Amino acid sequence: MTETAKTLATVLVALGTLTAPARAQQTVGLPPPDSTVADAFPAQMHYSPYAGRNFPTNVYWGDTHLHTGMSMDAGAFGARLTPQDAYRFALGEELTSSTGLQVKLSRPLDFLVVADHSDNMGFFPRLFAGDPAMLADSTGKRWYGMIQEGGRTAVQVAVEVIVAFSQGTFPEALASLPGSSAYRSAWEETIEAAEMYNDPGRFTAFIGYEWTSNTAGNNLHRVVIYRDGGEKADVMEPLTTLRPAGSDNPRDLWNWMQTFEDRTGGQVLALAHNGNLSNGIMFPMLDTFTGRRFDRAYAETRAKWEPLYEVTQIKGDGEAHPFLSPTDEFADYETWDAGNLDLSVPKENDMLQYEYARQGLQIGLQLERQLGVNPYKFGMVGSTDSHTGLATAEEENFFGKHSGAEPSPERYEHPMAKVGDLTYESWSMVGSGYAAVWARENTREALFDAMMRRETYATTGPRMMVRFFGGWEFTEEDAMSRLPGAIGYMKGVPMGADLPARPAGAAPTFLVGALKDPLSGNLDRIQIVKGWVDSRGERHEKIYDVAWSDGRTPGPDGKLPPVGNTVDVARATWTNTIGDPELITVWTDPDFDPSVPAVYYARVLEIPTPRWTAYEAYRYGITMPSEVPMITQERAYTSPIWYTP
Amino acid sequence: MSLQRVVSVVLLAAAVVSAPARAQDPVPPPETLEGAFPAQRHFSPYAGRNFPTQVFWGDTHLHTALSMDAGAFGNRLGLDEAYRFAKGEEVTSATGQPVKLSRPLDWLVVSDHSDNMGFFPDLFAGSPGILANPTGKRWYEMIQAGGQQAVAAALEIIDMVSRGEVPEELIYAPGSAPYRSAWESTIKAAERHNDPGRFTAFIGYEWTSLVPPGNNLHRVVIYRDGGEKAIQTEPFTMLPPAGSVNPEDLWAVLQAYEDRTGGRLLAIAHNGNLSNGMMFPLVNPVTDRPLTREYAETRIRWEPLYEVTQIKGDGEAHPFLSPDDEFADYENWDKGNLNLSELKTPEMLQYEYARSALQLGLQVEGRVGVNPYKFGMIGSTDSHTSLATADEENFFGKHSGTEPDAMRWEHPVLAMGDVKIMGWEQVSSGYAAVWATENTREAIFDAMMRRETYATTGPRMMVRFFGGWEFTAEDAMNRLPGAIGYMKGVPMGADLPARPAAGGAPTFLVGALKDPYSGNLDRIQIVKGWVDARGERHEKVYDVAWSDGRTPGADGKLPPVGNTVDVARATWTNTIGDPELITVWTDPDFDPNLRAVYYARVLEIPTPRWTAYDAKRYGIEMSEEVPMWTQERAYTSPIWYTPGQ
Repeated sequence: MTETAKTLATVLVALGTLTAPARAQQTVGLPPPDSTVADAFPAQMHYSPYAGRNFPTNVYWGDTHLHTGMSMDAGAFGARLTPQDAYRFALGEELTSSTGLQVKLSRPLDFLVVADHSDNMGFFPRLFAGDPAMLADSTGKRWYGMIQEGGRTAVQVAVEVIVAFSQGTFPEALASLPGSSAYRSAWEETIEAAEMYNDPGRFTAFIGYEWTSNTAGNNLHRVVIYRDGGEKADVMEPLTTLRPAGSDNPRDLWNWMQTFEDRTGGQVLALAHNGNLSNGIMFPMLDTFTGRRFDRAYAETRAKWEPLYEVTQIKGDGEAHPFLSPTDEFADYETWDAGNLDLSVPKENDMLQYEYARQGLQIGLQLERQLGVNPYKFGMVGSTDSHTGLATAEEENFFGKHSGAEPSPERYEHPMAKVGDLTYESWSMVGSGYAAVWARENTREALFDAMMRRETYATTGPRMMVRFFGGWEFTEEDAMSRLPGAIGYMKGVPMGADLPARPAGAAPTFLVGALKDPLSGNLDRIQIVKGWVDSRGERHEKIYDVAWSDGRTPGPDGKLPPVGNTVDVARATWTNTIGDPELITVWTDPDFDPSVPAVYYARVLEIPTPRWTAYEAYRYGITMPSEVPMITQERAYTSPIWYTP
Repeated sequence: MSLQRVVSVVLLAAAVVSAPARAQDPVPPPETLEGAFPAQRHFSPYAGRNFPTQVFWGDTHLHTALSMDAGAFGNRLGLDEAYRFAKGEEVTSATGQPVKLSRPLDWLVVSDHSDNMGFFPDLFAGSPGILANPTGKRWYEMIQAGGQQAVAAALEIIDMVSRGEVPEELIYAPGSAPYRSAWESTIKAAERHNDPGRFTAFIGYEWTSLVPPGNNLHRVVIYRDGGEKAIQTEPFTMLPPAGSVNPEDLWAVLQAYEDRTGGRLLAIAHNGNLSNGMMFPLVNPVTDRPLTREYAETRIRWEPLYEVTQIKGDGEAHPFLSPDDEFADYENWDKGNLNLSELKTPEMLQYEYARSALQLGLQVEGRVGVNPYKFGMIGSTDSHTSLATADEENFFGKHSGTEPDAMRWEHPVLAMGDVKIMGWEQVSSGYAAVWATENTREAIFDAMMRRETYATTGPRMMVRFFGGWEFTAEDAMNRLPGAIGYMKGVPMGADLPARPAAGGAPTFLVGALKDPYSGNLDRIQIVKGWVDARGERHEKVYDVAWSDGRTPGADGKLPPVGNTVDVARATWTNTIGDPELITVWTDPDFDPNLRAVYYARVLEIPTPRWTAYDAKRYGIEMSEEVPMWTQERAYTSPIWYTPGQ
């Protein structure tokens, strides 16, 4: 058969398949073409390696989770920046922070989701502006007067507001509740800011909000992101958690999302974060709200609405925990495991397995065996969850969790938050993270669709470029090309996808590569983390070093020696004299068992670089206590690739 | 500097400025002004930086179908295609091949030849003016017939142009209606594609001085201005009676334009290697007398930059002139002048290459008091395909007859009798890098005027080069060399500040970051040129920073970095070399009494040359003389030292 004939045969087979239900009619109106149409199918292999590439070739960097002064807590902690300010900052403009510091990103971001808390959205800006409706209320008037006074008196307002809100004594006349005109204005302001800064092809401003389920202090927060513009987002107001209008049950959020889509024809997704502060209810085996086993509908619904998980952010890194992964020497990374969000219940070890992404992925495989659907089939992103209006995730430019924790010589020694005797130390804040999205263009539609197919990865701040493909026939040679994308999509599936059906006798192969962030540290290694469930239903994990720098040789225990450390803490600097600028390899699972389900993702480690605390110590000339870490090893986590027998 | 001192400096400055109006305003007490001068040191390292922090990449020298020769060689791509391609869009080349850049450029100068601009597109379109002439009609019919007839028409046209036998009605000369429309099209296309802050489309043209018998003195002219000024005059040509081949006549025309419009222009020469000793003369070939002060002043007024590398040969250095420089023999074209009508003789070379020209400039300055050759460096393509390609893996050649195909390497691009320059000798080079504060015509043009630019042979490495008297090793440890560089010294393209009374030798802060997609870095060198007390020229090349911890040999030479190129597969690995190099270097041989000029050369590790990609993609074997790998590089603009300044 000639090449042309083969191509045509393929086309005809495809047409046959497509038109199968109408086989008795004429195929597609015309009789099948003959070889005279060969010229209509020119070969698509071009000399220019960049021509004709229809797969995603760009990584777009953004933050899916940023708060402004519109969020009640952010406003209470002093954030005065608006959603518009937040977009301008993400676009690379210089701003003055709420504490009066000049601040600018080293490089602009490509997209941003302003995700203010839906409950009481817009309260503080109204109070600050002396909104007449507020001044009409006696408490409102008193608070406004105190705010005008400034200083400690104004801080007292913040304390009163938060206490009143959490104790349910918040004056109803002042509350910003869905359905009220105050709430509508806040939501419209959010939408308008996004519409103003959304610039298709150049910068994507997503409409979004955070649904802040926090019953008993256990964090089940979700950020909701809209694919749509204001004309749809404006149709319904966000879901809140306060009853009666709101709910703290994720199932009600999913119902709200379904209603939104039914009503508007729009599209939304949700992503959870801070399982580490959920005290064992983020990725549960049993329904937390009923105590019963999940049904298939739960799994289907959760998987439908929650394609991604925010795996790293300021309040702790959520990939892995050393208790769960005792042989993983990199698992204890910026771990926050004292308790739940408000520290009202201390952490117990048996909660941890339901909190971290690595176990969540394995529990998903277990539930899939029971229910037939994997509820925890999520991809990875990082984001800041910053409450300053400033999406900073770089160590040398870290503006903290909230405006009370913006840079100052004292911030490291002040608690970031305090509940009774328990505190979150400011120095434990994590300068993390960003979301990386592989897409074809920088638009709401293209980025949202990439999120839905989980073609994303998380980083703790640096912008390394990471490719991860799975398939059955990658060979060593494929890692030698300088354009892994072309081979990756041709022979396999990208991060976030399912392995194609297994050819007889094969083990899965993975093409994985990373390019360093030009302005950050060199690369130490690429690892592949495998999770699986054995025939008895037990969870397992194993970490493979698959590519590493400096020609190191693993020791007799199979462990790769550490890459070394060039950090000069006193000067808050380092040299890229260790590590490699790029790593790439093809890896075949040596322990593959075709009869059990498995999940694979890549973790990319940088060489050690100064942590934000080191920059702070250097710039302010201060010495921090020895417990404060001064060095970090930044990293990326890709979305997984799944194997199902 | 204390606040007190800042205030007194400001007041001093104010006094100077207001001297003619001394009675105007009384000076307020300094202490009342303190609040108006807040400190400018910010926590955010990216805030408050007013110096150039971005490199903008572009091509100052690209031809479209509007150029007579480009059209004759088959280019049918016009102005819009050239800009769209530079902006990163996929286009179809004149030979029907889809092509796209790996990354967009930031700016572009379309510089079509001013003589006969726009003739070929009109011939192809069968414009009534051309068809009205019997010869024009015959040519049109031959072009319509296509194939060999069309080629014969093109050859006939080129031949008649070179012999000055084109019928007058078919000559596109300034003042004629069709010429005016060609120039208007050029301007309108630039206006259409200029997008301040995002993409800069410069208005420009090439003045194509070919001094008999064929010595290249071409200049590209670039406008800072928009169409409203550029349209007021037409480009300068070289054909008599309106035109001239004497650069002094070009400068007069540039001056007349500025006088008339209040606009700004600059000119950039290229291919001294094809000038047969006329590009950087000591004796003015027009007057046959030594260069005068007026010549020097005028030339340097208009020509701040030199295009040091492009497809028709690299012009930094020549091995005959720099026998100790093992990297000087890089992609040299030294067989003769532009049309090979006169062969090269060794004594011509010193007047052709940038390195010796910088030294000639010092000699002339010693004699007349002004340096006519005080130029900065840029690279550009001079491609005639409308496609600004300079990457080895995506090289579309000099003109449409040398676009990718299996035979292009073995066909001559230039031939005169037995003397030939073969297709494989084309250089896939280069691009212009400009340090500027924003991507606008004004900011980039102004950076060109102050020579804050560098040339690369294609890759986009980021290079900083600062000179001063007090840089210390510590300054190279900072990850933001720009901040220290501008504070303590001057950037590439500038004069060293006055030497401190305490004496000392000049110090240089020089650093480079690799192009993330290209090869690692081998080394940074500083090339010093000077003129001794007897007026003799000298040069020395210093290795100042290098990869892999190598130790120079007994002869002081650094061992080669190695070579990982796999020619058969047209690939390499970044397992040698470093991703970044930075150092502070002090001239160990400094003589404060002698004029000197310093520039940096940055070398990549060996990577495949475009010929290797052709060989692999077409499955062909080229003859042994064809180089298959290259060592790409960057040349910075120099920093000058003048005694007593």
